Amino acid sequence: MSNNYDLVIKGKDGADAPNPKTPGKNGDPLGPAGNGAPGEGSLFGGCKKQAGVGLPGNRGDTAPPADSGANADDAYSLVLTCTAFEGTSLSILVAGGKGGNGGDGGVGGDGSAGGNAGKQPKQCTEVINGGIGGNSGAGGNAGNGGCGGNAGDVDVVCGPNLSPGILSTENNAGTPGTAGTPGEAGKVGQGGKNSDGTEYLPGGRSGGGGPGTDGTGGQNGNFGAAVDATKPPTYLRITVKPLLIARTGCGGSSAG
Amino acid sequence: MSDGGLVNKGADGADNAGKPAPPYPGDVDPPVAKKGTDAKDDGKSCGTGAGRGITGVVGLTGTGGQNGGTGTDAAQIKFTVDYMTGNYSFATIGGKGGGAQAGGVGGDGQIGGPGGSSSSHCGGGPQGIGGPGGVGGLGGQGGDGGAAGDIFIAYDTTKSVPPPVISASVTPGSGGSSANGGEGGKGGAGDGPGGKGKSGTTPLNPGKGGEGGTIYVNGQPIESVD
Repeated sequence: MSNNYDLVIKGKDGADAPNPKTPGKNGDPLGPAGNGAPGEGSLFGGCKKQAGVGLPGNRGDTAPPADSGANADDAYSLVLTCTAFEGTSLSILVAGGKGGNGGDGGVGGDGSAGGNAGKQPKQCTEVINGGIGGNSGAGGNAGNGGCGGNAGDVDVVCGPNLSPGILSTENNAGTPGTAGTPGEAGKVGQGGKNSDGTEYLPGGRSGGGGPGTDGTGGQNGNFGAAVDATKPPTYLRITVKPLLIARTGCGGSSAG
Repeated sequence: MSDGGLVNKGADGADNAGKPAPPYPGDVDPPVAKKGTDAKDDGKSCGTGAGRGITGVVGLTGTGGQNGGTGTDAAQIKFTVDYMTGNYSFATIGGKGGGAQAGGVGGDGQIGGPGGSSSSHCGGGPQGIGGPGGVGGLGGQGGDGGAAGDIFIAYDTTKSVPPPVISASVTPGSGGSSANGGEGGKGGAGDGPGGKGKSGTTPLNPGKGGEGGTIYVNGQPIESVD
């Protein structure tokens, strides 16, 4: 769009957040140390010692939160004065930049498997449980969207022989960046093997990451054009003033 | 004036209509209810039978969908000249409200607790009843549209011959669409599974449209849009 204008006065767009979708760390595998000790049978036919239970699996880590998109810049200020304008048309775009989009949260870490129950000798009939699987890690929070930049107040003054009708202007408030997508939880760890060969309970599923906040749109500026008979015949002055409206609740840093 | 005319436009609100629903809210912690009481023998017979596992609790409520962003207002246009003839176009356009995101699914109900352990003379207890699924998340509310700005045009009618042909419009931003509530969660497993959770609430209305504006030519309102 901006290529179609003779004069473009536009704030810089806010950068989108980097989007590595960093995952959470997986829960450490238990290894053989997570398995229960074997049971012991008595020489006289009874069960001397029950097998040990398997240890619970380790929980996956929560994925780190995503970064926020940067806030856009406002349209910059400008005073353009021509004592003698020559031409039949002049098109101007005054616009705030677009807010950057927030990053996506990464997937949570996977829970590790629970340990296996120790082996039961035939003299010991009780079923010993394996360890419960590790809980999955929660997904990462989504990043916030950056706010759109403000447009500017545009004021045009023409000399008595120059009509403001030569001007074509578009004054656009900057659009906001949107929040990223929260990350999903990781996979749950499998339950360890019970002494009868069945599988014990898997770990619990954690929730996804929290939502981010969308940026807000920039504010639009007024446009005014008038003829000043005291100026030279084809005088033209174009003034773009920033709106000086504070932006609140914007998640990102400035576009710089 | 060139073909583009004079246009003041507010920013459209952030649109979340195309986003996938929020992720699963997670299981109840712990995901399985407590075990029933173990059986106890009384000498060579069963004394106290094993208890039923504890009934699971309701699943977590789904995450609410994001609301649509609010469109910002278009500012006014003031055009004051002596001589004005030919074709002119003016427009103020309020930003559109963004669409909302659907609510997330409710969490699964807690699994009924395992029955109490058996003893030498007593059987094991039954598993507990599963908990009901969680309620789905609220559907997001559509964003409100931004207002259109007024347009003030003034020219000297004695000098402007023939009179100008003016095309002017004030267009408020439309409200964004609201989204459906999330699906209820699944009932937890058990000796008698829990029922499915209720769906999340869907907002009754879309976002509100922005306020209108008025077009004035030489001080007289020639068109007003609510």
